[in-house]
Amino acid sequence: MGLRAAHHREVLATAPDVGWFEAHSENYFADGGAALDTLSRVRERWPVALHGVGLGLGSAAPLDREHLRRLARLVAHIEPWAVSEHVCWGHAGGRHTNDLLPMPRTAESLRHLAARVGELQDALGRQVLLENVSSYLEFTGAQFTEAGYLAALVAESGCALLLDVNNVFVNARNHGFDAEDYFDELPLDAVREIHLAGHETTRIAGREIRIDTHDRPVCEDVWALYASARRRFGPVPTLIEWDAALPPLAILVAEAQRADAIG
Amino acid sequence: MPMRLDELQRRFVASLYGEPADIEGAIRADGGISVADRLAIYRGNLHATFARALELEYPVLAALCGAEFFAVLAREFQQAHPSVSGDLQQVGAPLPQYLRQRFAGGEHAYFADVAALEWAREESARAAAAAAPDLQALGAVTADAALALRLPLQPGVRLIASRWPVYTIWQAHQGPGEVRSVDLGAGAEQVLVWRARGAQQLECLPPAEFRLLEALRGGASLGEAFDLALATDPAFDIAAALQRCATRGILAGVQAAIGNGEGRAIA
Amino acid sequence: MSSKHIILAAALGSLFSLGTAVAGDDKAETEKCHGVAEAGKNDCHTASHACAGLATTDKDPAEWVRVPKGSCEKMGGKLEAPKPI
Repeated sequence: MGLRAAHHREVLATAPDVGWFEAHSENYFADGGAALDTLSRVRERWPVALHGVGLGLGSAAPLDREHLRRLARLVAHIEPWAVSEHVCWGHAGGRHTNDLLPMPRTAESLRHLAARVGELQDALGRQVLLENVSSYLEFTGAQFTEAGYLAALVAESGCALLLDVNNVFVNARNHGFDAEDYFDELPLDAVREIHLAGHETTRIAGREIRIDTHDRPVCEDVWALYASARRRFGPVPTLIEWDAALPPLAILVAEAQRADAIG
Repeated sequence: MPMRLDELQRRFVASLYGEPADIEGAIRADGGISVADRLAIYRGNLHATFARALELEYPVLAALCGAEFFAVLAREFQQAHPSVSGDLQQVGAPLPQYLRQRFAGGEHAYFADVAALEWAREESARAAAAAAPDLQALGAVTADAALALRLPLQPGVRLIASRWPVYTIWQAHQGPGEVRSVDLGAGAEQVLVWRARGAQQLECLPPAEFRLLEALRGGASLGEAFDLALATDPAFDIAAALQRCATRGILAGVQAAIGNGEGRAIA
Repeated sequence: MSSKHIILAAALGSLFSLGTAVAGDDKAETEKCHGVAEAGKNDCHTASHACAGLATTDKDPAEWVRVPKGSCEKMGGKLEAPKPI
């Protein structure tokens, strides 16, 4: 399950019955202090995955060397079972958006992203997992479907995938495709981790749009899609992301146990 | 022919920051939702994520401002100092300096010092922990060596001096319940921020003790630092001050400067 | 030898008695008392903000609140800055 600062103390004190923890890498970029100390202690008892949110690998602007240095230092210290980032970009002209922005799905952007993923894997000396993101717009001139773009990225960079089932569902609704078709296009053995999360349904100009808010339980439609993903991709480690309006630890543990029971 | 990746991204970011960018043509307008509305979601995220990170870094400033004005201040500050890092822990770094100019000379001029105190806590929380000094070795330093001794402080130590009672203001916002009233005219406060037992600590120091720590932190010898403290308060008790340094845990491993000024590690 | 030498040496000497009872390294204590980690600022990076994204996105700047209206109203006394020290 996700390791969030509000639960640090309780996690260490109660040792909940979960298989592993995932931490947002950037929250532990410090040189020292309580957060890093907690993560080190969690690592003594559980496997840990490091999930990066800030590298913006698909950005055309140069890779932030300091960010990469801190990530490499953290990876060496924690020895995580998985290191992941997102199929996205995040900054241009020196300005960061601190958001996971969708890639224009062109051959040019694929070459660029695959090269960046290669750079990251070389810097860390290991394979990384790349996660599909939710999006609220698509760029014109796409030369790939979203799943086809992921499959090509795996083939070109040698990375693996972190499949966010909620994001597939959100994008299927927002952009009008079939989630099962999406799964069909993915390389079966590349999916090494799954994310689930809650999202919000809202309306703009009378039209429904799904926003990936991470602030509520996983909805039944996404649970159903998850069951399908488990049938296809096997019992890969699954994480529920809950980042805003954080509930008590016990509720997160129960959601995580539900995910483990499926499949 | 699609727009080149760097050009597309440059225009997209400019558009989110509210500049004319000519990006609309590169975005699909289907599903009955306009390109402008789709961009507005990302623009909302840009501002909300930034403001939320600032609020986590500056909770007391946010309370002083109130939610509505803090949102406006966050927006102004973001325009002046866009995020330059993929790590949201960094976005608030230029805020104290920004506030210094923004509220200069006005009734809210103390906001900058409150923010400086909050940022000092943030930095302290993330600083490395250096090895502790060997107090027994320190205690055995000869009278000759004592004057030239350098006493480095822990990397997590920050020293904030303000013309206003910033520590009292910060304290008034802690704990549950209503914020307590503070008399801004109560005078200057000098605050020591450090980390002990895994949590940040704050304490108000007398001016002479603050001066001593500032000097030590600046690399002055113990003799020089002592002189500065004495100039602030002729009755300054150096033994009591050093004992407090030791019990707070703000001293790091020690370098003794001997004779020619070359350091020799003794702890 | 000046009196300052003697005072400083005596002050350092007084640390001797504190010995190893106090450690500067804060890790030793966290075994018993875990520090309270600051909230993870990067947690809001992955999640989108539904309400912020839509309702308050482009509020007319004319509607913006121009002055602080929070707990600063409890900060009283002299409004003018005291003289620098």
